[in-house]
Amino acid sequence: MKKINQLIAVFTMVLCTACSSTQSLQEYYVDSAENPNFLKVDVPSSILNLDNVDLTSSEKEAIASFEKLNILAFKKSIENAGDYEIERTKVKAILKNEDFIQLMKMNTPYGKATIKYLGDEDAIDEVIIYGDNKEKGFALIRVLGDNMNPANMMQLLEAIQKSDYKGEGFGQLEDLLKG
Amino acid sequence: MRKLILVVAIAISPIFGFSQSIFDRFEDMDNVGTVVVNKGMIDLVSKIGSMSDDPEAEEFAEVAKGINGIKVFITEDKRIASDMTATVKKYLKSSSMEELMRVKDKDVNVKFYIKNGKDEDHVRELLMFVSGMKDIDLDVNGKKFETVLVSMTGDIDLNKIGAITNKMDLPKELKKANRD
Repeated sequence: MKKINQLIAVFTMVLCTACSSTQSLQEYYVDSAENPNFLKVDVPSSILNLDNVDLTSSEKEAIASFEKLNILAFKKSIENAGDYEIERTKVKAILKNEDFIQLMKMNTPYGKATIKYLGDEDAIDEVIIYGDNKEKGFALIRVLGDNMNPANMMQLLEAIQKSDYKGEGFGQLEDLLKG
Repeated sequence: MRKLILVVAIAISPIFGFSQSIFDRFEDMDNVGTVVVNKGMIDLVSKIGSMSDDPEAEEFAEVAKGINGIKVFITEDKRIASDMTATVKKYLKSSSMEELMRVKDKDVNVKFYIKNGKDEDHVRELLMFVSGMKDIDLDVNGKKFETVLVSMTGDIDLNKIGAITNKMDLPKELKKANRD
C-alpha cells in the first residue's frame, strides 16, 4: 500500500512539473491578473500618440512593429513574503525556457535584472525585462511586437522624444518603484 | 552516474562557446555585483553604434563582432573574494590559459590571462583579475577591499580592447591588456 502511495506521489509530482514547465509567460500573465498581490499595466502603442509628429519611414515602421507593453509587478510586503518567493520561483522557471535568448543579466545592490527576447536578432517578437528587488518585489515587463528591429527601436525612442508623450500609463509603475 | 554526466557536460561545454560555467555561480550571489552581457546584446549595441557617426562607436562595432560574451563580477566581501581567487586559480590550471601581464600599483594587483586565438593579435578568451585595495574616495581617505573579475570570450583583438572598455564602461585597467 505504501509503495503504491509513493508511486502515486512521484507520478503526481512528475505530472505537476511537466505541467508547470509548459506554462508560458502569457499564461502566467493571465493567471496573475486576478492575484491582488500583482499590479498589472497594459500600455498599447496607441498611447504614444505620435500622429501629430512628423515621422520618417523607418520610424513609422518601428511604430508599426511595436504593439504593446505589458507590465506585471509584484509589490512585496511583510504579509505576502511567502507568495513573493512562490511567484518569483515560477517566473524564474518560465524564463529558463530555451526559447528565451538572454541579452543581459545584472546583479547589483539595487536588485537583479535580466533582459531576454523571443524571436530572431533582427526580428524580435518580444522583449522581456525582469527586475527583482528583495525589498520591493519584482517586475516583469514585456515589450510585444511583430518583428521588431532593434535599430528601428532606437529611432522610435527618438521619435517619442519628439512627441508630447510624457509617460502616461507608467504612473502606477513609478509608484510601485518608489513605495 | 550523475557525476559522470556532470563531468562530461562540463567537459564538452567549451564546444558551445561560453565555457565559464565555473564562474557562473557568482552570478546570483549576494554581495557580488554582476553584469553579464551576451552576444545578442553586444551585436545590438554594435549595430546601433555602426549606424552612428561616432568613430569610437564604429570601432566598437568592429571589435564587438568577435565577442561572444562579457562577464564582470565585483565583490567587496572578503570571503567571496578568496573564493574567486581560488576559482580563478583552479580555472587557470585546468584550461591552458597563460598570463599575459600583471600590474601592481600600491596595494592593487591586476592580472591578465589569455587563451591564444587565431593569431598574435587575437585571443579566444581574456580574463582580468583585480584584487586588493582600491582608493575610491580620496577625500575620505577610505580604502575599499575590492575584487574584480572580468571575462571575455570570442575572437578578441587585443589591440582594440580600448574601444570596448570605453563603450561598455568596463574597468579602465583593461586597456592595459595588450602585447607590447
